Amino acid sequence: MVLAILPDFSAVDDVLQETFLTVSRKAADFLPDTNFAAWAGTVARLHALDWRRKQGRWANGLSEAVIERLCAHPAALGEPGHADRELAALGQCLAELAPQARRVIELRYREGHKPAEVARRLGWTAEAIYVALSRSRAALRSCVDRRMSLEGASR
Amino acid sequence: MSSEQRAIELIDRHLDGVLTVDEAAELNRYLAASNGTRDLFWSMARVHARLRQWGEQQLGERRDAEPPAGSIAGPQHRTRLWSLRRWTLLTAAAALLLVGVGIHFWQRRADELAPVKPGVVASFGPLERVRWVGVKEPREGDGIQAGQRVEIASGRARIDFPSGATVTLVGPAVFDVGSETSTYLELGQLLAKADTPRSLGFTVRTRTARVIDLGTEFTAEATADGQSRVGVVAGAVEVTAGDARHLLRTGDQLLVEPGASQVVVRIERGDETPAFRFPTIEPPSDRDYADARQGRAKITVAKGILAKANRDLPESWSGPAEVLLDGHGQRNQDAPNDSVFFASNTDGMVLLDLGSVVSIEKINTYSWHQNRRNTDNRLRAQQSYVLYGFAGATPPPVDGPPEAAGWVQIARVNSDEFFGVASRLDRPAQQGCSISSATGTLGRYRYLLWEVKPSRFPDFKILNHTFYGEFDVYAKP
Repeated sequence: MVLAILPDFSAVDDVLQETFLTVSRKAADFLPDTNFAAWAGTVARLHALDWRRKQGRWANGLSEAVIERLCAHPAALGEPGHADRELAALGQCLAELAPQARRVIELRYREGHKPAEVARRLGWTAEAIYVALSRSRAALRSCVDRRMSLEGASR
Repeated sequence: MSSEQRAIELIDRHLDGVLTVDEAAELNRYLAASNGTRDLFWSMARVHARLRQWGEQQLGERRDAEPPAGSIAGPQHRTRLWSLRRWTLLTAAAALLLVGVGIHFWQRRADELAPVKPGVVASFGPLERVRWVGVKEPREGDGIQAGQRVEIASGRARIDFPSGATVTLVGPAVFDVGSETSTYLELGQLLAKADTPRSLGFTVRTRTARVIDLGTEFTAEATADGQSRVGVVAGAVEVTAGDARHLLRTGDQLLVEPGASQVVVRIERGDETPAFRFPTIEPPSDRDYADARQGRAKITVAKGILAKANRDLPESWSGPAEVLLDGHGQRNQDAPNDSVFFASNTDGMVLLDLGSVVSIEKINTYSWHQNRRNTDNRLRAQQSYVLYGFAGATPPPVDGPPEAAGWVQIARVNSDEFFGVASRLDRPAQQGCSISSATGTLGRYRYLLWEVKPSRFPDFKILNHTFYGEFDVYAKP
């Protein structure tokens, strides 16, 4: 959720840490028989919004009203227990990517570089990197969905 | 361009942090107006998040492959390590948040969690058919003092810690409770569950390794000769052996041998394709020191005979020993000629001469077998061997026990034990085994000797020798 709100990886790191500390501190306040994941998600969302406010201008990001609506969406917290399976499926799907696309993904997600830096390192234009990232993610999304549904069907 | 295509483009740009002000306004309009676009947003955001998770995992694994901490002191590296450690913790915490695993414990009040007596740092939980070593026989609920040793000859004894962590000892076992968060397994097996926020960092030490919980359930085993084995049932742990740290996730196992070299054995399940892809172990290589292309090494069968069971069916014969240095694994799941394997139900030895004494950093072995018709027949995928080294000019004889002849034992590998094979389908069809050292080098050797054994489960007496596809040795002069 936080990665969706804040595309900056280091910001996400900070927000998750704050969230973890808050949830640990406030654990005794949590009311039994209510939705734990939603509660923890709310804490994460509030910290993400707070982080944005502290950074000042965010005119080129999602509005707070849209973030609220996104976080209220049923898909916001994902399906329990899916994370590991999705990650495993993703690992298999990454192997199907073309070498250059894989390199772009590695620089962006493993090395944590912003697209402009990825472009500089590969000697590509920034637009070419955006396109490569977009296409790679689309291919991976489709592949992960396919593998998850196949896995679901075989269970 | 359709509105959906445009929304995809804008979400992509948002995820890459490159939206302009106008584009942000446009994306906000799309997201506010349509539930379908919000669906799309989360679908795309989820892949983005998983990719980052994958990237962090990869980074951790690459870190494991880097030189030991003593040789890397740059501030940039330290920052990255810290970031990685923090991310690992956060990932574990986030997993707890998302699945609500810690809910039970987080609901308990602090006063319920506090030890009942001063000096008491844990207490006994359920005790199943426990036979105690010593006169005093504790009962369920009894407190355990800091520094107290728990010894059982048989049965299962659970120990509960105030943080919510539990340790179940499987006898025979010798276990020291150091504090609420730190313990020491001298001998035996345990199952630790430390999946509460307060138990993050719960530590089990053995003679050769330290296991730090990152929100997980894991097994640890310490043998009388100092070998340690760690397996992750769920979640993640960090295993420290010497100066090297290894991040293990669900299903991962690690074995640490005793001795100055601090040998670490990692075995992984492959993707069951000719590419031999593994979570962290690299695929078979044609660039390792021993590869045939390098022209340095020579491999032979030192003991036993390679399988040629059916004289009329050459396609069922083992390939020659040189197949192990040809730079690739098998081309398919059941490829005898592409594999090296001994005659049924015999022991065998493979000798590798590296040409001169070299410093060996890592040794990888690969196997692949799954019968085409019977998918549960992966008998020949198991890796079971003892690896020895020798640095002299002439290799010692191999007709008796290798160590008695002067060979130095480097590692013991039994992948069935690693994977906890209890039924035929538990055994991965494609396996990679990587032997490395926490010190960075396994030692200096000229000769390597694999003493390989057939699969014994189920107890087939025929067609039970492993199909090895490739041996890679990473070394420096």
